[in-house]
Amino acid sequence: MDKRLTDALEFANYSHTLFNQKKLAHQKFIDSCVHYHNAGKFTITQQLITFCELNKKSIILLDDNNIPVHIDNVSKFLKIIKEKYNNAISAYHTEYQKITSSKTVAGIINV
Amino acid sequence: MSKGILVFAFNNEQIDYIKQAIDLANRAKRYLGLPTTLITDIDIVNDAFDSIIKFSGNTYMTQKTYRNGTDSVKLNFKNCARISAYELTPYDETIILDSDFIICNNDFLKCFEQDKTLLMYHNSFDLTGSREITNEFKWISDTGPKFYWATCVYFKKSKFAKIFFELLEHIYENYSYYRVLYQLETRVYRNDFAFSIAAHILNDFVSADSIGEFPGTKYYVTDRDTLLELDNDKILFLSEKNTVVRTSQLNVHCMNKFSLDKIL
Repeated sequence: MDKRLTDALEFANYSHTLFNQKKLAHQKFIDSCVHYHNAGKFTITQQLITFCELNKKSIILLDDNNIPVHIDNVSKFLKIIKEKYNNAISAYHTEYQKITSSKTVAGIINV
Repeated sequence: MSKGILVFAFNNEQIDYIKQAIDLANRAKRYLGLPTTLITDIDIVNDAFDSIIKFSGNTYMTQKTYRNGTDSVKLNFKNCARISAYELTPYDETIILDSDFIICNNDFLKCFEQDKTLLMYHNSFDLTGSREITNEFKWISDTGPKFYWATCVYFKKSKFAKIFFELLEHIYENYSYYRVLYQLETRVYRNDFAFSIAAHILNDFVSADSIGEFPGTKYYVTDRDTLLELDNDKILFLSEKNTVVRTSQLNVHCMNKFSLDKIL
């Protein structure tokens, strides 16, 4: 096979694997950010954290299914979601760095 | 409230579903701390299971194409016992799992932290990322309702769940009618379709929210992809397009039974 074509196909394979593993890492991060409280489902976002920071008293939050959920101890709730979010984004960051710093398919999948 | 996993395993000429179920039970114990009950049609004793129930009901057999990458073969397939899950389960809260599910984390425990009495996956994630996005796993037919996966179902003993499973029995018994009504292409009874039709009916034929979304994401590879390595919670797959994908700490539905059988 023409070397130019071989190189191109090899790069395409690397590019696809890189893209796919990045997409997977991001989905895993989103999954890790889900927190259940009082039977409500919350995807933890920076916006949710900031909102809770600003409302330290008892509040009602709209969960992912648009159900209003009462949060009686906001400080405790905030502490849990912050910790969960920090762990998730830290793991995502580590994985992302490992994936993107690998220059071969073998390097990427050995993450 | 008792909680546990329910797995159905009916071996055929080539696929050892019970071997898969044993691995699933061991993983359920390790990652979820949950017991597993096996439903099967043969006499078996195995410590991996909390209990084993010999299914004496109708084990209607059909033929299904099993793929292993580029190869394929038609084999017998017994898949109608699942509609009896409500009566068979020894648990108050049950997670039904296909035996070809590879548990690698504790995400399924989130089922017990919410209020809905029935959860199923609608959304799913093709791990290989190399196939065109189709409607195959979005809708049950071109004009049909939402597709729900029967491979992974949570239910709590309740009036609603009982109605759901009784409705499934009705759909199963009248499948030829529902197949035409919902314009399903395949004549073979398929649990995913029956569960999706039941969900559609119980949602009053619209997109209501009686059925909750199962926690996390349903990651899958099809039977055209191959499982290459399985090392605790790390899995390596080869896609049909010859690209590789590595997962870590993700629950994966591996539809290629042959490659799973080989690795276990």
